[in-house]
Amino acid sequence: MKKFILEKIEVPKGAANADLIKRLYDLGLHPGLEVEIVSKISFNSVTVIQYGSTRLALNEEEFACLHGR
Amino acid sequence: MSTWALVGSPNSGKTTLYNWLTGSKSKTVNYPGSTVEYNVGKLRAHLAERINDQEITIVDTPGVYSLTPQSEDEQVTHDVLYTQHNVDSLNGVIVVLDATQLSRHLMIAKQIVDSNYQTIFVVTMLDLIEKEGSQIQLEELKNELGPNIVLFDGILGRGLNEIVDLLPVTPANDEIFHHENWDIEKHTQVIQWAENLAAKTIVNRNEQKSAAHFTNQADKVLTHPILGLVIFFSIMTLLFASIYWAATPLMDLIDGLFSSAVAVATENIPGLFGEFVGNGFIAAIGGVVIFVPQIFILFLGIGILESTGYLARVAALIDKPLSMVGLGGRSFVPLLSGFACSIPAIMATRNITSKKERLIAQSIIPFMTCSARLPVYALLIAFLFGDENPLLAGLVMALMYFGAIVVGAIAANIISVFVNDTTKSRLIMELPLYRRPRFGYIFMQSLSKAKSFVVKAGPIIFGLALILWFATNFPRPEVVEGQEPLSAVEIAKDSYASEVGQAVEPIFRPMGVDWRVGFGLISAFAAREVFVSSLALMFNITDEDEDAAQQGLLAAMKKATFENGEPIFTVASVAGIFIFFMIALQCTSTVGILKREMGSWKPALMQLFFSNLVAYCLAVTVVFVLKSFGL
Ligand SMILES: Nc1nc2c(ncn2[C@@H]2O[C@H](COP(=O)(O)OP(=O)(O)OP(=O)(O)O)[C@@H](O)[C@H]2O)c(=O)[nH]1
Ligand SMILES: [Mg+2]
Repeated sequence: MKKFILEKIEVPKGAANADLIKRLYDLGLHPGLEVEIVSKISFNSVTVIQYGSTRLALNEEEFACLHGR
Repeated sequence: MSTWALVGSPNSGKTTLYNWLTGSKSKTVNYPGSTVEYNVGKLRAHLAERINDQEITIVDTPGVYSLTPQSEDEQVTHDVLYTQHNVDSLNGVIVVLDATQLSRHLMIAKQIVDSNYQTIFVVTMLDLIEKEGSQIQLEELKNELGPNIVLFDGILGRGLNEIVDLLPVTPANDEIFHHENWDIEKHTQVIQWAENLAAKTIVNRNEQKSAAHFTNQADKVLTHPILGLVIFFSIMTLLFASIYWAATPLMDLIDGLFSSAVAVATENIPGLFGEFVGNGFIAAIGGVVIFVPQIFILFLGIGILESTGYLARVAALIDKPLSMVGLGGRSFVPLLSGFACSIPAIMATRNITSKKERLIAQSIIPFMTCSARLPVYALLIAFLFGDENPLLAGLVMALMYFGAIVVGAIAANIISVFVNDTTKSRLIMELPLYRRPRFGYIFMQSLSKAKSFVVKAGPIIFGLALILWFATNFPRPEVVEGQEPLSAVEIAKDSYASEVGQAVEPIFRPMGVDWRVGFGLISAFAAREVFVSSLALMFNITDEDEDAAQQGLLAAMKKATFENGEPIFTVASVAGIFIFFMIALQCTSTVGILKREMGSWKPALMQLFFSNLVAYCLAVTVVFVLKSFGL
């Protein structure tokens, strides 16, 4: 299972979706956080991530906002 | 008098606490976003005794991730907090925090504190914390949030009295501040504050014993990319088929009971009235009651799935397939609840963020096999396959459910052409910890649903029985002396019902049925399940064979013929009725809810018109084609 440190949360290529970014923060995601990729499901389009005690399923567009190392 | 609103993140235990405080039986579900409308209740009398019988009102609200709403359900909570035209002005807010998700839930706590409301903090899921052997350092929380903090166990209700004792505090603050959108810096700051506070509060966790450990293990199987889908389809097939399989013994029992009741009534109550009570009313009620076991099993199955936390996983698993018809994973739970009843299901679309997806989901929910369609399908399947092959009959039942999804998908494709909104569907689905279903609770909920099904249909059936009985028995022909009195069948032939029936028969003839079934189809617009009752009534009263009335509906259907002696119920005509019920929008309450949730009459009425038109045309086509194959 892959772990990474979140560096920034941003919509790729500057497409504006402020609400989405805000919602990811509302769920406790923030730069510096360690995030684990648990699995890729739904024909590889949904990513399940785990951070702290939270388990979250994100679709492609949402997961693409998480940039990390 | 004072009013408190329960506010917190989704799935934190608000409704559970609301039920403890008010004695309501609102539905609690292990899925983030189960409550979509606010509910108001009074503090239970025996709790109010603790605080000198003060009158306290409690408001349950939908869960929110932020006080700046991004979906309709969050808007409801926002309005309860800030616009106040819905509820009496609030004295304060009970912030509900899940101890196993404390750091995230503290962010809502912070927003409520900033709003200047009086606050009580309730930390729920105490039982889970104890089970994993953690300690809660309440002092740490109190240092940051103030003294009004209570630990609560939603399973046993421990902590309830302490919460009640805090309710009659000082009067409301006058000045309430709206939540300002935090910028990224501030947001990060708050998250870090919450993480630190949570880490200081919940200490000595034993990872192995925690509920999270079990959840992670179970998810390896249940959300496996391939196995997960296989398991999901197996579970659904099993559920739908067992609606047929598991209910049969109970249904036979009910059938037997009603048949004897009919016999007792007709033998002991003299004359026309006895006929009405027995073959009319009791038989008609029996026609619906017999399906109660199936409905009970359906609710039981859905209830168990809901309470485990599995549904959020399914939503994620089938996000991609659903996105092909303009929907997304978030539509899954509303669609599934459409199998119980469209009305709550359409409301449940409130937690779908994307407008386009919400509109499509709302429009296709009425095609799902709601519990009122179940009796109709079950009757028709029993007619076609029941005797020879009950195993197959169960699978056909499952097929009907999947068929509804296909119809929905086709409709979704058509509708999405008309919706010009390009926003992508939002998933962001929190996967909650798995929980053991509370069987007792689910059993009682399913029972009360099954009961209300009968209670709802009862008066309609009674009214219908009365009308049909009158219409088929009058006008009474004069009895000529020295001549045999006319039989019921002969009376029916010249009755009002027959007159009207013959007039409308041309509409139904293309569907391969006569006016009596046509009456059934029309009566289904009062409530779908009434179709079976009116068939029972019609064939009881008009059957040539006096004994047939006692033999139940299936036997009557097998014998029913047109005037020229051809059978009415053939593969073709039964398929036509199936198609009609799959597509037609017969439920007026659904139209009302569609109007409310879509915001205007136009789409709701269009849906009413087109669904029924398409249903009729398609049924006629299918009957025509099948007939030409000699079926
Ligand atoms: N073990 C345990 N489970 C609880 C407790 N409180 C609630 N639950 C369960 O947690 C789940 C969510 O509870 P709800 O009361 O529906 O949560 P809610 O805050 O109303 O959720 P939304 O309406 O979706 O915002 C349900 O499965 C409850 O049975 C508790 O104290 N302990
Ligand atoms: Mg709730």
